[in-house]
Amino acid sequence: MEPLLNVKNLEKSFGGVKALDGISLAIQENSVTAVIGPNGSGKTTLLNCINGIYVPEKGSITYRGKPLVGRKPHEIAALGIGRTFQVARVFKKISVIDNVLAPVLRSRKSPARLREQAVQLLKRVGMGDLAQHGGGDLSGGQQKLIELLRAWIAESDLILLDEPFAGVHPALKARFYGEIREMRRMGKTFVLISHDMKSVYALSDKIVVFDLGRIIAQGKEQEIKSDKRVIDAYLG
Amino acid sequence: MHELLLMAVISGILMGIIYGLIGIGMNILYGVMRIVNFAHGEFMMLGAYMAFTLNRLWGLNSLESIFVVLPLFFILGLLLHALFYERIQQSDDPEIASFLTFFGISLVITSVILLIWKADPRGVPFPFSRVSWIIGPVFLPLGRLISAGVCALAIGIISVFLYRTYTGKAVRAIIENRDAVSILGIDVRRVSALVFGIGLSIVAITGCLVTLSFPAITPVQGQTYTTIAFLVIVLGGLGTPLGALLGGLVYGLAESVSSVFMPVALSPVVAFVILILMVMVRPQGLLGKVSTRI
Amino acid sequence: MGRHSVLAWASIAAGVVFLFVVPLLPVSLPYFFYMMFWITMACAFNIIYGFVGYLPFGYVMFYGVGTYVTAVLWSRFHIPIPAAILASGCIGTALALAVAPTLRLRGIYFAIVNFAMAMVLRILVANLPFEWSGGSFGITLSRAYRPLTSYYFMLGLMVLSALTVLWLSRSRLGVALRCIRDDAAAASVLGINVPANRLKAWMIAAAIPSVAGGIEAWFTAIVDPATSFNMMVTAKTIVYAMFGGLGTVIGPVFGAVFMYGLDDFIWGRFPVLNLLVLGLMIVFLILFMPRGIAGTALRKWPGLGQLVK
Repeated sequence: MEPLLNVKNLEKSFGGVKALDGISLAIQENSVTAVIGPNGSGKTTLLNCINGIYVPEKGSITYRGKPLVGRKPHEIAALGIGRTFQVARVFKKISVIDNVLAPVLRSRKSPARLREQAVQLLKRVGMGDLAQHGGGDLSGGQQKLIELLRAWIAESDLILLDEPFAGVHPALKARFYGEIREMRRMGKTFVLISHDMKSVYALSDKIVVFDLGRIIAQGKEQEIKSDKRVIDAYLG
Repeated sequence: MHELLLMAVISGILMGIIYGLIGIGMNILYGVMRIVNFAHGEFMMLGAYMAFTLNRLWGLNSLESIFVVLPLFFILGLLLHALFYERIQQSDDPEIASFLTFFGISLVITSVILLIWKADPRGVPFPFSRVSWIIGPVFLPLGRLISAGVCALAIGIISVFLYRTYTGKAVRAIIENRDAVSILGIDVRRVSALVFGIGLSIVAITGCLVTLSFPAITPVQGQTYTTIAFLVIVLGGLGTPLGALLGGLVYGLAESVSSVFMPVALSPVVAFVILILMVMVRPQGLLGKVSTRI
Repeated sequence: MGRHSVLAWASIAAGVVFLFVVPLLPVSLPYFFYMMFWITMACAFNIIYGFVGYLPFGYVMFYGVGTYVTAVLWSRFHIPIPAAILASGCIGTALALAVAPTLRLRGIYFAIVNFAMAMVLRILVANLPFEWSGGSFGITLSRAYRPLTSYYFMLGLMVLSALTVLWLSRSRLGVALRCIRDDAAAASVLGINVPANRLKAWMIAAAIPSVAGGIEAWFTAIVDPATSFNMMVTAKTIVYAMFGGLGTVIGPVFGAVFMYGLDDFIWGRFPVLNLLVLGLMIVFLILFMPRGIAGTALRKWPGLGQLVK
């Protein structure tokens, strides 16, 4: 089956440092793929290239057959790719509900209906009464949830999560799991970067291991756990 | 034509050295503290007017005034640092905040100059008996020559400071990577205060030299020098101190050579066009390392 | 809250009605004309700096171009003033479009380049052939002089500008702009077309001062390079708008009314001191009250939000 997202031979350098050194990866539709690896191994750089924040020097990225490299970030978002960040990028000076609605400002749907949808989403995750508060008033974990809600309301089909669980309260974490599983049931595809191995094993179908800008292993939980290269990368 | 061009080139280089020092003063302030000193030219004029008064009261010539004005301006620099540094760094956008703050200060200085010295042009008598040296077909205005010499000396001293002393290296480290530096145990606040003092000392030198190079000073010339300083450091690269020297030379030559072919009134246009082109085409300047794109 | 809203709207309406009848009252017409002028400028500036976060330090160039286009079209091409003013607006907008590539630049660079452009324009206009634009003496429009008509034109523009800012603050474009100001890269990743939205705001923010310039040229019946491209126009716009509170709707209006009054009072009596006071005010504002009166009030009493924003 044609993969939803196909990355081929991606290379990206900063100064003299090669952050991505020939990355090739296929993401199947409706899967959850976890990307793990030591700090600085290129994981966030990969996501940034997919979103169009960085432009790779070599290689290609196709989404449903369409090439992504060279497109502006907002065009890529319009194609159906959503993103959350390691440090949640919530707009501090606008309201929580406007933050949730940010991805659909251009939408042709009725603003009233979208607003209603946003309110419902906030209620689902227990933040219904925070709708009018400023984005800056939320805790870190709540801000991360907002980022997830944005992906929901934008109806992104491919959602890239960068350390979604880092620094999140255990109770909120459970909410996160629930949301991701629910969205997965609806047909969404996830790529998630995480250091939280419990979450990785609990949620993902496939695990991809990065080290120094390269993929050193791909596979299911058992395969990864017993892969010598992975063990070396983490301990060596 | 050849003599004209040759003189323009020489004049351009001389002015370039002077502009370079002007630029370095603004540049280290920006590099170390991300402070955009929009009052740079006005501070220079303040220095020039002080030189004028020193001449009137005690007969000091332009060069001798430097010895009085420099220490005063150094202290002024420390004072400004104490007053503004913390507040500016805490604002949402320190660069814009400093830009506007110093713009306000520029208005204050201009009005203070107007209040104390009034608007009439003032001049400091030229201290040397010869106005220019003549070498072959070329006139070398002595004032510019000496100014360039003083500036070159100052640039030399600053380079030694930046590249050979511990504090100087700390300054360069801060310019290249502000966040990493605190880990190295460098006290950014103290270095910033010192840099403010040094920056204003440089302004003191160039301000006094203005009275040597030009027969008359007026309170409104400040804006011209501020603009030149901006130009020079953008050309050379915001954040690289010695890049300002390169920027100064490029601009000095461009201004000088273009005045041979164009009416004098239009030469600022050349300057601005170069600035605009530079920022759009190569925003980090000829040597720069600070990013300018969003 | 409802009662306060009504009170606020009522006082604004009263203000507009008052301005409407000023020509009938024994007060200085120029004073109120310029008050409306500065309100207009502050509102327009609010769009590009308060909402989008860009500081055009050469903002005067739109005003200047506006004055000259009207003056030249009327005096050299005998185009009736209202049409010339409209042309001013169009050409000002076109100028904004032409310099749009500079919007890619980061804060301080954008400010400096914009400033440089304004200076270039001033020198160019002053050095154009005399037949075209009157050199450094400028152009007089004495035969077009209609203080009353131009006064009402300015009133209309002021109301239009204020309503534009109001609309912007409630609209989706306004939300998009505020997202861009807060975190442009994040906004982009969320599907907000940063360049396109920014450009829209930039063009609106340029059109208004261009038209204002045309109307002001009509009111004073004279244009010259030094006045039309004077940096103090930018400076005052910034101070008035900041004092009132950028990013809010009513802030710049209030700021312009108050500060212009203060400015006029001091300038009338102590011209040099005026410069000093302006400079000190800028420093004070930036360091202690960067959000202006309205912004600071908003922080203490967030409930005012509905009124002020």
